[in-house]
Amino acid sequence: MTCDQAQGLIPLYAARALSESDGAVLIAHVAQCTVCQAELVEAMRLGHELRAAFARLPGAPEGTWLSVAARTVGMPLLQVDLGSEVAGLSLSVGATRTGTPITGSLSILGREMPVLRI
Amino acid sequence: MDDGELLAQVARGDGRAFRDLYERFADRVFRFALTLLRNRHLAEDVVQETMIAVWKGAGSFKGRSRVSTWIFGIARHLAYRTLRDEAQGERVPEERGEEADPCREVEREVRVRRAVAELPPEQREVVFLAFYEGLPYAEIARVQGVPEGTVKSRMFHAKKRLAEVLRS
Repeated sequence: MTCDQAQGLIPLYAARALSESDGAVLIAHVAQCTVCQAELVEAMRLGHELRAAFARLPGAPEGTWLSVAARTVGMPLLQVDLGSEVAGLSLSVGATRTGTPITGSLSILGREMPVLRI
Repeated sequence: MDDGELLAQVARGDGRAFRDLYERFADRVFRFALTLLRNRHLAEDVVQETMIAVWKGAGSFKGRSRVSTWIFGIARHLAYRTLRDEAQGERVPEERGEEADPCREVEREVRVRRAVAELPPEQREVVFLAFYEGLPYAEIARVQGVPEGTVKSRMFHAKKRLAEVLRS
């Protein structure tokens, strides 16, 4: 492997997007080349910082799903939650309008069962 | 269940599978759109339209790429349409970046984000998809609709620019 080839692969290695076999060939080259070693160290640091920076970006706002659901699977029409988190027991009843039909479900201890379809 | 199996269920009209797929991708698509558009409201619109397109088009996914590549390709198309709309006068102001924090680590992170924000959009995409999503060049090339060599060139220039800015 030449230095040019290695330096093309280094960003991919730092991004964890290189196959294991290509990674092994790259590391074999880097082990014998101080220039590429320095490149790899810098790319690894940059990769770590970039991942951290992107990971700290906010996620989609909470209400986004409702807007998507309203135009695809249907808006929740009714949601009633009863029960006690302390006792580990919960009961919820929901109804969702999916186009014309209305479906209802009953959820007990996280297990949801469809109970209604109109 | 992998993304492909989940998408197959979405293609059969399974609303619960669609909700699961949304949970897997909404934040990632939002961050991708935010990286491109630098505006939260526009990024949220891109998430909505992307996921609606996924719901409608799930049956057309042929499995020739990763599901994530397909979804980011849709998001990219919609984000660039938004950028074109902005260029035609419907401009929404960019949000200001964060102020530097006295804490050195946070300050460094803010500098990294600013350095990324100053890259051209095509390079920002490559950096996001490679470093955050871990997509190989071939998949990034599919998302961007360009040859793999173009992706490599964009990565080369982005990395060079980031290194210069962060060293200074």
